[in-house]
Amino acid sequence: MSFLHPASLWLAVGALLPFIVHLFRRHKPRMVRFPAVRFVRSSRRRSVRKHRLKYLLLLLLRMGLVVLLALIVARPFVGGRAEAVHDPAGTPAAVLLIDDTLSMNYTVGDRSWLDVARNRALDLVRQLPQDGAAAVMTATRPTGRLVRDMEEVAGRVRGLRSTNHAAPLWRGLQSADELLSAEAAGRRDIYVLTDMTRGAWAGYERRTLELSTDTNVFIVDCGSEGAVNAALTDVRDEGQPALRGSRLGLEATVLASGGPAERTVQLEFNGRTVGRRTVSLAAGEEATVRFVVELAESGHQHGRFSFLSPDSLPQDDQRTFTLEVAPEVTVLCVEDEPEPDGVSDAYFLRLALDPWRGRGGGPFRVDTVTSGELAEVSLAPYDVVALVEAGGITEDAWRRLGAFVSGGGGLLAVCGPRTGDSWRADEARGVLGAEVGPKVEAPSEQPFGLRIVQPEHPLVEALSEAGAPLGQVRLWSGRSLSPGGTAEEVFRIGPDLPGLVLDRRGGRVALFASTVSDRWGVFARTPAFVPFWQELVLHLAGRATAGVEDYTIGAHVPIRFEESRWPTIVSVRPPGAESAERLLPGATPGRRTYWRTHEPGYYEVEFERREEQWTGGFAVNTPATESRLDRVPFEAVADAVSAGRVELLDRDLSPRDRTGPAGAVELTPYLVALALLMLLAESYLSNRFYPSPQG
Amino acid sequence: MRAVEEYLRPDVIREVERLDLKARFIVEGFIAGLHDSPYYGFSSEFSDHRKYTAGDDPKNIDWKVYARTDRLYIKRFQAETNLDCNLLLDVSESMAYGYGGPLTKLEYATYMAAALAYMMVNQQDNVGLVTFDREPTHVVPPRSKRSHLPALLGVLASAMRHRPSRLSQSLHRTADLLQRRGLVVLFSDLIPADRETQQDVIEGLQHLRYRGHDLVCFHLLDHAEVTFPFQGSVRFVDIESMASVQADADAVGADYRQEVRRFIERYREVCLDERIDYVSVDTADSFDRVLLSFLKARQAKF
Repeated sequence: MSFLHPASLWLAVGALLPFIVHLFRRHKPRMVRFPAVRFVRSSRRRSVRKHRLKYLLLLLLRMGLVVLLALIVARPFVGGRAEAVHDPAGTPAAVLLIDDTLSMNYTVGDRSWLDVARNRALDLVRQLPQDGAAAVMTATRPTGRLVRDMEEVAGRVRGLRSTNHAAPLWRGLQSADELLSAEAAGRRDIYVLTDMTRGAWAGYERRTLELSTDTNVFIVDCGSEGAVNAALTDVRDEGQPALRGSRLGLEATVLASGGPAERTVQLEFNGRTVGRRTVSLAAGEEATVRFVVELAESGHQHGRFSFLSPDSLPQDDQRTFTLEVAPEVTVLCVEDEPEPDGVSDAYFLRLALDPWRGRGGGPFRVDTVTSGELAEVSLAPYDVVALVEAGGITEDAWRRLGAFVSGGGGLLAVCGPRTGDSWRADEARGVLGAEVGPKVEAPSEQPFGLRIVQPEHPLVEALSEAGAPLGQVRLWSGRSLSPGGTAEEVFRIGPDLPGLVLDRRGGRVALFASTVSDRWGVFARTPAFVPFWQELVLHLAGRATAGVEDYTIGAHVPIRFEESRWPTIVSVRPPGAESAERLLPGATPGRRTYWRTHEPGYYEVEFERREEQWTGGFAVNTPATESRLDRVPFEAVADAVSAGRVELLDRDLSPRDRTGPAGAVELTPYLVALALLMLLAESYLSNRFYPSPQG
Repeated sequence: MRAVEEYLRPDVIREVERLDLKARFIVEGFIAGLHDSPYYGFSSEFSDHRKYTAGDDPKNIDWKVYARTDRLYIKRFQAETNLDCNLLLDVSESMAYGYGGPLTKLEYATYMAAALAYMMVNQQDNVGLVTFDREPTHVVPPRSKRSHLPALLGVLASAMRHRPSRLSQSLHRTADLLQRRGLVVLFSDLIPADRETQQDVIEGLQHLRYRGHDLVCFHLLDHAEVTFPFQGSVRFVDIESMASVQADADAVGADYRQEVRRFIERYREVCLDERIDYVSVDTADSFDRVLLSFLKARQAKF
């Protein structure tokens, strides 16, 4: 059994009071002259034993009542942890664990919650015994040492600065407990000054922190009820590849915490305002705002979502991001001879890749040559070469294509009526990775389709994300394909009929068994047509883009650059800083790591190598968990923390509520019930033993 | 001027100084309160006749006169002049006890005895007096003259010697003293002395009875002795022996009252068996209740 107020057990000494009163009464009898003393004597003789028992019972009841009262004041409990040890004679040691996370920047009037915490911490320091030891820790920096100079402790408290980090208090509590346990102190207290938000006690529902049994935890609530905060908690793109000339959908999540909010969200991209949206949110509600940006330039881009009017916690009212925009994909379309639009396969492929017909604005640029010109055209400017209705490719052309693929280029070979013997030559087989067979007709009542063979292939996943309805594809004919050594069958058009075979020979090679046009089917008339060919060409070009990127405050950001034999100087300029910080080279070539990501915003990175200079950057945002100002009830924290005592201090730093360790059963209600029963018994016996004269 | 009935109250009679007046007032108050008293006389001596009227007790019809005169006459009785009545008064120290009441047991007994003596002398009965504590202290032989009454009352008024009692011994000695059979009226608290038992006292009473006396026993107890109104821790000091006992009055009260009830009941049962008229008297009672109960008991014998 343990006690919340063990010092109150001294009250049990009061159990001697009834005994002392009894002794005093015994020594002051009243003298009465009486003739019938013989009856008194015989009555006394007879009743003395009975009454001695009664008096003893009454005395014990009264003494027991006093002991019970002492126990009730001491608030005993059983279960949970062992009894806390308090040595009033020992030197006290205390750790002030101050929550300095982002949410503590919430401002009420002209004072933030951190200001409140700082003032209360100073009050606590003033109340601490001068001969004791104290340390100051913060949630984001849970280290410290015990010092015996309270002025120094107060100085550390005054020097506390707010941060934009998220850091639950668990680690700080653990560190404080370890620090105190190493100190030979008679009393060990941890004072936790926090706003009691979910971020401070993240995961309290499912975790339990076991602290030393002789460590007491006192929680000082520095937050306030009714705090309302709106925040931008997330930014993302819609999944399209970020290619120059493409349009990219950007989304941000707006959260209203603690109460309803209405905010106007603005998107700036490369310093230019894209648009504004106003959202109205109920308490606890989240909403998504969406903007579309045109990626006119390739290279490093950055943008920012922000509220037009900041609130009481301005740090989370903006969200920056970066985007690496790749250049457009250049495709060389090869056909035997130019045919009119609407007929040739090359036309359909160009339609799929470049609907704007070379007017710009799309991520693909398509050039067309004939099979005969292939041997003369330089392939270097192109990312992908597409062979459509190109039956007359010479052996030299196949060798050039082989060299192009070996150098990392992509090759798309689409079968068709003209796919003849030249595709079966050894040079062709060496490039395509599969042998092209004869034409195969589908049964009229059961046309071919596109069936996925490898669901986890990146191409299939990309198609799935793009929402291509491949099930609608109907093909009447196709050529039989026999995949070679490293080639893999990704799609199938019929039983034992590979539809798309992919191989990797330096660059990527794709062999499609049917036509692009509607000559051998109705693929071009289905919604899956455009995404299929675009994703396939992007796959062959190796242009999977990273999309929108951002980091959370406190993250260690890797900064990559191309290796060179010349040293590369990397400098980072945090948001709002006047000068850039030059990063020291590390052990990994082509990479630097920047870890001082304490402020939200865009960090500009400058690269300098010999006479070459270029810039990049990364975005850092506040942790979304800190934007939620929902409060965690003290009882939940007390359940999660197992220590000698866990108490909530009031504004005047006196205990507001007390609770025993988690899992403990408090005995006070039972003791109160027992005390009432004993009181009833005492009253009954007293009335029975000492009846009133009228009675 | 008070009505005579008021003198039946102990708190009123104590205002009267002289004992003879107290006795007279008590008797007159008692007689006045009787109205048409059926207790005209309790002696056995015939006095005269009167005509029978409806309501008279048929047992008092003189049938001899009826045989001679053919008329119904009722016999009337006067004091039997040769009947000796001895008043035995316990004047031991314990009788001088009164807790909060107007009269001590001795005062109450004295007034009662004086009143009875007054009544009997007026009826020409011989009235004697024996006072005793550990032994008979005063013996006044029975006489019926009116001049005898002041002497008897004088002894009554100065009988107390503040000595402890030895009741059984005194009763035996008194029984030996009273040679002539008659009526004996005992006033005592009947509390045995330290070395006595209740049975010793009972044997004393039986001794008187065996001597052929009609014995009337007024058992006087103070109101406090019956109700035991004490509270808290009390050191009880015996009036006679000065021996003390400390007790929690609240604790022993119930047992004490039960003990006293048993004590009274034991006397009542013995007296019933021995044909002794037993009257338990609480000193808070008025005199008429005691006198009436006494006369009722006497009438039942005739």
